[in-house]
Amino acid sequence: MIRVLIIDDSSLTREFHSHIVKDAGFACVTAVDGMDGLEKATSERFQIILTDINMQGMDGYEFIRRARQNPDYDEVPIIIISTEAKELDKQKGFTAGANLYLAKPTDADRIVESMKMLLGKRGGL
Amino acid sequence: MRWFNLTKLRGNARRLQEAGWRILGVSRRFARRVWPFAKALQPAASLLEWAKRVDEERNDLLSLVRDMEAEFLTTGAGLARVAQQLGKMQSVCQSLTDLTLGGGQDAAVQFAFQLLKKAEDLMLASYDQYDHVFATFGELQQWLSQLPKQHEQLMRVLLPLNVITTAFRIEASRHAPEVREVFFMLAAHVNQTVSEVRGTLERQFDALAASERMTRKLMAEISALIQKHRNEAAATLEASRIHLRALNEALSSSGVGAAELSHLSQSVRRHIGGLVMAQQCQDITRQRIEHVGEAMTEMRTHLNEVQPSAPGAYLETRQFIFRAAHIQLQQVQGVFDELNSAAETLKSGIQGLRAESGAATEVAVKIGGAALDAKVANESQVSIGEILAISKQAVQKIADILAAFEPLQARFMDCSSKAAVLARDVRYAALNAQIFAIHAPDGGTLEALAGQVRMISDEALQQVGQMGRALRHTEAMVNNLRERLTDFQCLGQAEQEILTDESECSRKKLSELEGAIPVLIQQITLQQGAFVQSVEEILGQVKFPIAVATANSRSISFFHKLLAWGGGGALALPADSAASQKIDSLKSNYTMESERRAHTSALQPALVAVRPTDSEPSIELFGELEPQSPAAASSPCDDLSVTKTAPTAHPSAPEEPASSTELGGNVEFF
Repeated sequence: MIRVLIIDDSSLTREFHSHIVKDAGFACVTAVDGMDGLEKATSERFQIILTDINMQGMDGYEFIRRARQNPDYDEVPIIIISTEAKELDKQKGFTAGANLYLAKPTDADRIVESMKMLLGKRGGL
Repeated sequence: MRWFNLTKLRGNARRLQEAGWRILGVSRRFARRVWPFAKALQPAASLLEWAKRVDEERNDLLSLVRDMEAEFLTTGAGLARVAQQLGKMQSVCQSLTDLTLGGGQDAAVQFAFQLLKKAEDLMLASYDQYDHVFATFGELQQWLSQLPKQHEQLMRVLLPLNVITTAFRIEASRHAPEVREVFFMLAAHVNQTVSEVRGTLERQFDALAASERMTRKLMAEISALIQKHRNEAAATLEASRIHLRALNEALSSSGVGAAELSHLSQSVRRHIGGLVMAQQCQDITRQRIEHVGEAMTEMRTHLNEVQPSAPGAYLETRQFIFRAAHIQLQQVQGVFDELNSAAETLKSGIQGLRAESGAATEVAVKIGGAALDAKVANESQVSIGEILAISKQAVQKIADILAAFEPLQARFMDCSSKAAVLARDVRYAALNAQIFAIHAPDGGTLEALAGQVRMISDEALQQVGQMGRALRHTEAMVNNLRERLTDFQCLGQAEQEILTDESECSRKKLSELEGAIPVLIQQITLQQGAFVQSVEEILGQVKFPIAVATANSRSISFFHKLLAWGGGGALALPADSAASQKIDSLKSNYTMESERRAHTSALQPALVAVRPTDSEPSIELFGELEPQSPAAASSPCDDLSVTKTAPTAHPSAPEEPASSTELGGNVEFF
């Protein structure tokens, strides 16, 4: 089963994304910030990561940058789901190493479609 | 006395007035001494009061966010439960719809209708065969009606033979005994043959006529029976159709209800989607309110720490508070604008959810009301059984008709062959007589007489030939009919067997339907009940719009009062003052800009290669991505971006071009 890491400091968003991901037939683990996400990513393997940007402690950009330095996560699709929707934020996300940028609010179908598309491209599905 | 009293009174008034002036003077002196102290205490109290109020407002705002998060978590779980219930309900509705409306060949009622149609077709084919039999029989009767005339003609042809054979004997008596004996024998043979022909043909034709009468009678009986059968079959078919239609209507009604419920479920899903989208405002709101809260903490600290006795400190504080409040008012106003918009969406979603829930109840009642009546299904099954029995009888009747034609056909063959043999015998006798007459002395008369016999026999043979052809034709007709009926009987029996099997299959399907539908309807009713209950629970949990409206009014009012207390910005704040620097700090640290700056500085090395595009709404990056279409660029859902790897970014470089069309017009690939 595809395993998804969800990183968001908002418990509501974590719940929402967990529900969507599980409903789509994936397994998921949640983390409350970038540091927590990195710890979880190193302790177990995930096939795709959904992360927020603005988080206390380690933010999403830093998390992505560090995750990309790990050979295990060099090719793993990372989707940013953030309240920040400015062009520069997107650029920063892609520069850090994200594969896709979704601005909140976003609907469940779009998240699932995006995940499937990225996983499909890497033969994950 | 009166004068004295008046003077005394005037003196008292003057003293009273002087005493008043003295008191006023003392009060003024006292006020002049106390005022500086009071003046010094008033700002300090005001600052403390405002610090307290700022703190309270901050706590209220943070409490609003916490309550909102708690409420959204609860309602979110409720919505997830509703979505699951909807999924189950939709699945059951789909099963019910498949059973009742869809499924084509597999649908029980459609299958039963098809079976009925096949049985009807078989019956109609049987009736076609009957019609053909009756038509053939009518034609046969016409042919047979000619046979008595031909028989009469043959008899007329053979009639002169008696006279001729007498003449034969008379003429033969004039010849030698051996010749006479021969011709006597020939005459006797001819007479005997003619007599046999007459007798045989009489008997054969009598038997033929009897067979024909019998067949006609049988056909009349069969015809009457078939007519009765037709009427019964038509009535039974109509009854079967009525039963099946009733069954179909009941099923359709349930199916339509289920489809409606399924459609409603989709509508509810949309409302849930809207609610979830609205709830996502919490994330950004939380962040903003946290910033506002932190700024308000700064403001409160400033208010607590200020020394009002210090020259200009009080005024500077008011100015600081005015500017800080102004910044936070904008932040709070923005947050409440978003919250109000989310509350509107939420309210509309809730109203939609409530309306759909009500509609779902109505539809569920409709589905339950149209539940399959077991009696209707049973009647349909019985009807199909009756139709099958009738079609079986129709096929069986063909065998009866074949049996009825059996003796008639045998009689034709017998009659025709015997007549031909006898006519040929007469001809042989005449030929023998002619030969003998040629060889007999003075046998000219005998020869002439023998020639006449041969002519008559030839004529009789012709007549018999005609009769034979007529008989053979009728025989062929009967044979054709027989073959056709035999073929049909085989096909009919095969079809009958298939129909019997299919009838069993249909019975099973209808029984399954009868068993499955009430279960599905019960499931739908239960799930719909659970769905309505869940919706009601969620609706009961939603306090957010009212909480937002209350907080909005309170908070904005508070900031306006704070602004008013701050003096309305009448006084300028010196740019180099500590308060001014704090304002700058508030601006930069407690807005979302601070995060952006932190991110930018963290990613500065990688961003050097990125050209700034803030002024341009396009999502094209690094000049590597495919240009976005104007329509996509202006798309209202410009919230999804996928991009190819930037040249300066991490090494997982892209191989494929941006595929904007896969997820929408605002896709950027990495």
